Amino acid sequence: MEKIIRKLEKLKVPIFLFIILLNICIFTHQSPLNMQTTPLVHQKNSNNLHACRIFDTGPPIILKDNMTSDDLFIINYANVTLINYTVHGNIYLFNSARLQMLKNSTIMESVLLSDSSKLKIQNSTVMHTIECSDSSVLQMFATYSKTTTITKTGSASITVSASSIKALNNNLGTGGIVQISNSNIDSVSLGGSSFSQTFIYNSNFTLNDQAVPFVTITGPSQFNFLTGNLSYSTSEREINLTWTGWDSPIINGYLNITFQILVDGVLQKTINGSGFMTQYIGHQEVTINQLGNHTISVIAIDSMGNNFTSTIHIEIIEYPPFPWLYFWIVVAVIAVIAVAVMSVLNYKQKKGYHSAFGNIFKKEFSDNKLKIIIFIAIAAVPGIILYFIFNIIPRGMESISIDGIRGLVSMIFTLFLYYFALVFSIVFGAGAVVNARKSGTLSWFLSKPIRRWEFLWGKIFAYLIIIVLIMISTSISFVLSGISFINPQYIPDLLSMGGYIFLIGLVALIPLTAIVVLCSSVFNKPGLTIFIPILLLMVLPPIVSFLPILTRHEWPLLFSFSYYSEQLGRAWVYQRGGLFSSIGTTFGTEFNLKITLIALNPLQITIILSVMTIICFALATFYLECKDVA
Amino acid sequence: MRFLFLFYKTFFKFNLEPPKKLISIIFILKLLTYYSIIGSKHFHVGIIIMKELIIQTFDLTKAFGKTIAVNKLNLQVSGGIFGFLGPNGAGKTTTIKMLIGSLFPTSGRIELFGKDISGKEGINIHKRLGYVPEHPTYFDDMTAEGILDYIGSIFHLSKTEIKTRIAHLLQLVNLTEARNRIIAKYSAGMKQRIGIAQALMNNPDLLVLDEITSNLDPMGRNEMIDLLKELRKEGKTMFISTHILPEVQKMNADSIGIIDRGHLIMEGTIEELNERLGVKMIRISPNHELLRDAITPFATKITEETDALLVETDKKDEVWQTVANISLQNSIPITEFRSSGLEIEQIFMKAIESENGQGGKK
Repeated sequence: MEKIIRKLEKLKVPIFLFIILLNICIFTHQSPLNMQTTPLVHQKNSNNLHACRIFDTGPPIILKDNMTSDDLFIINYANVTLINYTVHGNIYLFNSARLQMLKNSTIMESVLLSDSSKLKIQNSTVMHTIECSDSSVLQMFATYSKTTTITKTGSASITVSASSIKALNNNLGTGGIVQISNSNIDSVSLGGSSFSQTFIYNSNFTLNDQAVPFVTITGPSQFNFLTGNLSYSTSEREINLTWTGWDSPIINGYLNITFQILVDGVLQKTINGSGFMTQYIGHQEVTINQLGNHTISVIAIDSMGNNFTSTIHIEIIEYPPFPWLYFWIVVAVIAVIAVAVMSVLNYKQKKGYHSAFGNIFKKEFSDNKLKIIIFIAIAAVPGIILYFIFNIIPRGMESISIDGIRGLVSMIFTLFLYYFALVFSIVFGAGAVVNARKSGTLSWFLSKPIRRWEFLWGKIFAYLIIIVLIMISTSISFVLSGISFINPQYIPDLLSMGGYIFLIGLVALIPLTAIVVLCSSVFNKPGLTIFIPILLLMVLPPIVSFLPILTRHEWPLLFSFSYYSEQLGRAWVYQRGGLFSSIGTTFGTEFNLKITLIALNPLQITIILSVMTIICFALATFYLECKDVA
Repeated sequence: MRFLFLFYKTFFKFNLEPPKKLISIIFILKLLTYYSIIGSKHFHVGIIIMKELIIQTFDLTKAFGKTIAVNKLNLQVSGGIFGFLGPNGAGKTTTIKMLIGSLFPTSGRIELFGKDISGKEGINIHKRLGYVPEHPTYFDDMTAEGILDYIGSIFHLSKTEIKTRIAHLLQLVNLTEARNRIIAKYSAGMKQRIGIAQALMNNPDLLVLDEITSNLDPMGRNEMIDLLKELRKEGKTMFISTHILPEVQKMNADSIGIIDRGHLIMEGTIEELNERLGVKMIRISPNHELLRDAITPFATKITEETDALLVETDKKDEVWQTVANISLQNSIPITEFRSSGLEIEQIFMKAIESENGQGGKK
């Protein structure tokens, strides 16, 4: 290091000089390799043999009653006015230059406008062509010039009024408007798309219309901000199709266009969209009864037979109805088991068996009375939010699509479950053992006739009951608020969603609580047990969601705790729900990477999480049974 | 009688093999029947001797990594107040935590009421146990009545039983007035007293108290000591760990155990320990210069008090003759001349010293 510094010290004078040189070059905008400037002025053009005159930024210049044989370059905001002036060469307008030609001014060759230049012609003549490109503007008034041809490219705007010219070509425009009024034009030639519209009023012209009309389907579609694709999946069978279409030219304000609606290539309906308007906004209900992927196309056809097609992909899906029968059977079985266990315990206690399980269980409730009430109240918040959202919507929009509701529910509940699960596990699970151990309460508890596993499981059972109560609060508040606004035909869907929200809540909360209880049992520091749920819910999912790009397989997502509840939400409530789980895959597809998907169905997810939960609880119990309590 | 006493010693002080134990029990029972025939007085003595060992540990060892906190501890506590003494970090709390079952011994085992605590009877043992931790960290948001009620429910006491116990205990620990106040608002002394009350909720036979007086002011300490004496009258066994020795003296501990660096250095009644240390102390009053100078050749150590001389000596007779002579010659009236034991503090210091001496030799 020292050697390097010493060498640099020796070189300091040349380095200093080099830096000065570099600075000079930067300030003078010159390349250090080519210091010689090439003067633009008076450079001879060998083809045209015209000399060059340049008008650069400065005060307005008026050239009057004279002539020049030079080409004129009007650049950089220069403002030139020709009055009764003849130019024998060409005129080039660049970079916001302005040129006015007034009172019999003549240009013997052509005019080329580019960038945002502006040309105004009045009572003057351009002998050959006026080429308008980029965002240039051409205004022509009262000009009789039968040799003039106007060509438009880019998004130039052209206005021709009370004039007579040879031809006007509108080619492949990306924007800009051409307006022709009260004029005589030998030939109007339109090509490319109708993105750049042409309006013609009260004029005589011969039309060569090769411009295709334009149509875009505006709904229903969802724009994926990652892929830029439009697609839509819905559980509804009636699809409200909307589109916007137009054509070029519009002669005297009349749009002449026809639309055809095709589903999977089969013509469904033809709609006449002609009328006195600039664009047609269409609306049609299309019924698709088959599940799966479909394409809906709208074809716009103009009077010349030019056509343009806009297509969207629609997936018709079906969300499973909530299995109420199985649900109640499971609830009944659990209730029977609980009653049986309690009666066996009572019987054994009468026979002299001592168990403090019930005491710990009750204590957890009585200690956390206020917390439980607050949590149950917070759990009702998503339902209340939905109630307010839908009750401020005007009555005219009463028929909200069930898909819209599903989307909203998914959004609110995904976010809610992230933060709620986080706070819940920190407030309840994190302190379960570690706080009691830290404060010495645990060793005091163990001096009483309480088995270690009873201490842990009394708490765990209390948490499970609290989770169930909380999710009941969420589901019921959601269903009640939904009933207040939903179309009665969708009430079964609503109840189904309510049931699934309950299940997803359990899936989000119970395994996380199990992990946190395990940490609480293993770690000695309360801070660590708080960090774990933050890591699992806030830190890991966003990181892990990008890993499939590297691994080319979605397996890293299995380590993202939110993946499971998101996946269940997609299967049961709304297919596009979830925050993180598809980011990596979507990006990967965009980069043309082949990423193998993991498609876990709800049963597999339930099995994975149940096994994890059981392992966590078992490890926590084992650890507490074997570990010293200082 | 003497024979019985010897038998008691062989039976309880040494760990006999189970068959031998059984034989001994049969033998004692035979003796008892014999004495019951002879006279009721002797029978009574027999009952006292039959009192079971409350705490017994066998080579109890606890290691935290490489540090050995408790090393091959063999304790026997039979009743009354057992003072478990030792300097800070000697392994007192570790032993107690092993007794109550919150720490697992590395090796060795513990028997409470004659039953292994790690066995199936563990829960039933805990029903007879009360534990007062050094720092009472009960549920601070509960009232005294609330916590006692909860503990009663853990022990599955009936509601009427719980009510009467709560009334009795709150009166015993003098917290009847503060019964509905939240424990967090209690003073340190009150917290310690509710600690005693909660430990007594199940009317335990064994009360384990860990440094309970260390947070208290002198008044509080005296109150606590009185309370413990009261409890002894009720026939409870108390295992008290402390490093504050005068308290053990004040409590009139029935026996003491001294632990240092994990080793049990000494165990027994205060008299036994004095005997074992081979220390003979004579207390002579008044404290007179002539007396002191005359005794000095025979004494190993003389401690002066304001009105007495404490003489440590092996030659008691010589000291008596000298004192008598000096007294007669100088007409100094001797108000006190008696054999005296060491105070607990002195025993403790001596025990630690001798242990260190041995350790040095090793």
